[in-house]
Amino acid sequence: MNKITYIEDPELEAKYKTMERLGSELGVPVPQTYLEVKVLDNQGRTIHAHRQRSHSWNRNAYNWFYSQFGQLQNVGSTFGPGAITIKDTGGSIRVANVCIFINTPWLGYKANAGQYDRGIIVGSGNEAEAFDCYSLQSVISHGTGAGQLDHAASDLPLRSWNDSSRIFSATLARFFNNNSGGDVDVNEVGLVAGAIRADSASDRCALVSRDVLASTVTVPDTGQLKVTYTIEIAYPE
Amino acid sequence: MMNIPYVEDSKREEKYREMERLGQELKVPVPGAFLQIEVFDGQANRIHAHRQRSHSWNRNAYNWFFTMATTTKVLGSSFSDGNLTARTTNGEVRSGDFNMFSYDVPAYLASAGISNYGIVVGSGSEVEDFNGYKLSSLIANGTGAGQLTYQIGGSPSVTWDAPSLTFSANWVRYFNNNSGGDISINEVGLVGHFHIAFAYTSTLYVLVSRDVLASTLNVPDTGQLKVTYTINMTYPE
Repeated sequence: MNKITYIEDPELEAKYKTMERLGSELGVPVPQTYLEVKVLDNQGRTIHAHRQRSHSWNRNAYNWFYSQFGQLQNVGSTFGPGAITIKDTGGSIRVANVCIFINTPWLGYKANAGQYDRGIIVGSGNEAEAFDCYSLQSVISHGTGAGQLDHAASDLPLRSWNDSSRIFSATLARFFNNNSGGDVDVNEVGLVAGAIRADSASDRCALVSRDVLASTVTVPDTGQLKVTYTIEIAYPE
Repeated sequence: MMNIPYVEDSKREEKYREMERLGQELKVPVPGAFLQIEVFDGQANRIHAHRQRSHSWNRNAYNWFFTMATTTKVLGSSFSDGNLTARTTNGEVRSGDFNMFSYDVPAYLASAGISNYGIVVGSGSEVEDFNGYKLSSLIANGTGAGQLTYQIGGSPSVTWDAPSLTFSANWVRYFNNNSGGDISINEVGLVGHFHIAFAYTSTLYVLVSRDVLASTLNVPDTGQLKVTYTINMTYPE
């Protein structure tokens, strides 16, 4: 199986395309985000591959983007409607006494081998997506024990420009190896910005997107999971 | 004249609203921008007022948003398709090991007498250009012929509208005409003073939006011009 199945609901897909077309026409930057999940068995054969829209920029992402675009700081202290703050993956609310920013841009979604608190992470939980979520429901930790995955270092983002569609793309990928001795089920995928700053000189880890998969993806023992996020913006003509 | 006429073309306005509605439904952050212009005579009577969409996030703004959302650095060395650079108001193209952001002092905050960043105005009427990086003909600060006195561009007022789930930030700047004659305004811009160095050691001025007005506005001698940019974002339900 080499083909990657695009599984987005056609009605939703039509809405995405309309919104993106309007963004291009009106000169408004509209981010497009895709999620691709691929599983290989221990012979390197693809046993699952699908691509979909990532549906879930969360409150952290909105607050971060809006704080930068509007150049805003010191707006509220809660994590909810009417406040511009960050809730880190530990559950602490970080009041934005500066405009929320990524301190080391290239490293924003980067994770070293073994790190499962930043970058692309996966989990076994299947609670419904929530705009106010700040962590995966049940993150799969790094290791070779039961229910664990070996987290490889994330790849540096690949960027490309398509002259005909006028789309800039950035592709972020990470591999996870299953050496746990058994199958590992994956139900949720998240993107954690690992060097976000809001309230101090300290980098924080903040979940900015969490997708619950339509169905459980099983990574067999000695198999490999590859998760790819693609973030795009269409430029006006 | 008490009401402020909204002059946006109704068909375009429908498209903006459709895009924003879809952004809210699909949980995609879509930044909105409005421009409001008021002119007062020497007796503080309002002699002109209109509100419109700001139409012109430019290449700098797109590159800024793309590198922010993808947490990636600058790519390439020219200011054109396929490159992710910033072009400053003095025409310099910034490339290399950096990203563009602001954190400690909001980028649109401008001191009195400063005409090289914040909200700026000009007399030029060249058509809007996605690659524009400066006003066509910036009106300088001062009291000489053709000059305006730039007031402080203070911190924005930020409001949250609970029913529509929309944040709005109003950036306002006043310009006084003590030049001894009328001054014609044809263009308005938003220039940020950004850190665009990896170690954020330098601050440079970057135009992110320029709107050419539908018709020339005259600010009479001893009159006042007020420009308001409203940057908003509608959050998902």
